[in-house]
Amino acid sequence: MAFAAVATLFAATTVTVPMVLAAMAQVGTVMSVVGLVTGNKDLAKLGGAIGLVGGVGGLIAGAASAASSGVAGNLAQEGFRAGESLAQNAATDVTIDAGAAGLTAPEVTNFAATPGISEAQAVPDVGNVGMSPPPNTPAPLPTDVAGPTTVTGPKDVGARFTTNPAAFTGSAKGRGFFSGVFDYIKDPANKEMVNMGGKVIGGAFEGMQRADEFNRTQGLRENEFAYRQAQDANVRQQNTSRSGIIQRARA
Amino acid sequence: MLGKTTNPLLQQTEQAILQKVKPELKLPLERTVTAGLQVMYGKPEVLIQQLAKSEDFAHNVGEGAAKLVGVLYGQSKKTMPVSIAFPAATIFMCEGLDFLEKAGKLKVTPELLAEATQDMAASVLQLFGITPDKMREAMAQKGQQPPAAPPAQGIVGAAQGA
Repeated sequence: MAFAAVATLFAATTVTVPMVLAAMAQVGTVMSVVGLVTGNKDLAKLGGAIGLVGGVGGLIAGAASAASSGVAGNLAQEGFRAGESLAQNAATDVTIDAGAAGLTAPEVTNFAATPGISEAQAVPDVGNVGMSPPPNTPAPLPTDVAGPTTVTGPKDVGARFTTNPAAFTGSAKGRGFFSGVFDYIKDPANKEMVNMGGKVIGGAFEGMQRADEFNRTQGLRENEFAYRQAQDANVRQQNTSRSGIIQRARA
Repeated sequence: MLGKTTNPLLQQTEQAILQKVKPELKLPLERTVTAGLQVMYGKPEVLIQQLAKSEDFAHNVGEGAAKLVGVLYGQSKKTMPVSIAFPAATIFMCEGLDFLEKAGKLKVTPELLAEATQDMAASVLQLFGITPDKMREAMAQKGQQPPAAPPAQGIVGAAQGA
């Protein structure tokens, strides 16, 4: 499944690279899904690129079986290239709003995680996102999550999980926030991997279209088979009825 | 369907997201979404305050969805699985957009949904403590080539003149 367990981000005192990659894989999945549903190629491409960076497994899982056949068919026909559109639309500004706003919520009922759910204590590197997490027993979450409660600057936004999420006001624009991903995609050194990611998504779209065509063909064949069976049964019933050929011959 | 949205595009989005959730996480996600909807509609004035804080409704919705997930995580005393944060935030985002559409503030279009999704994703990542610099650092480390293999050792290596 696409939303594999992510390392205990909230409990970690530092955000490690595997954690970032795992989170990016999940973000890529969400964006890919929404991009496919809405037919927004740019969003799907962005999600694909982010997912590709986070882990190909999550990318593939996010692209497959997420959209209608019409969307998949159109995207496959138009040729899917991950790098071009993103490079053209890349933004470089990252603005962080250092203001604060309050949002309080009433007490909600506590709920425990479903027994048996395990969360990877350390998310493995590329390739394992989207698959079952390794059988590691997670450490208990600490109760003293510390960190800045207000945004202090563009480079120090939310270094740790804030203790007051209601006051969180990270208002970096989506496109600006992911400007680093755009830069990564534009980097000639990463062109091959980006194109590979584009082909993966394009292949997934094409595969989805072919799968839909196969299902439609198969459905027609099944309908035809059922029709013929019904016809045969009707003929058999007529032949064995009192007014049928056999009965008349016996008469 | 876990949410209350009636917009076909948003319903389709929610369904697609739910298909990506692991079976063992569906129940926690359902609980999270139920609790979140209680928060959203239990005090509509709070909801309206967040959704109407600026003219950028897509950002308001995306940020609000991330905030709500963070609040629920805190209220659950950290028992909520972290891995359902993104799907839950996506569902809340759809609910917020549906709310605004019913209120006549906007018309949900694929472009608006895409923009809100980007803002929501960015907000949730920031809530996790993942900044653009950390993302760049992760991508830079990921792009580094692995170290070269060590030279052959042992008898064969020594015989070969190592």
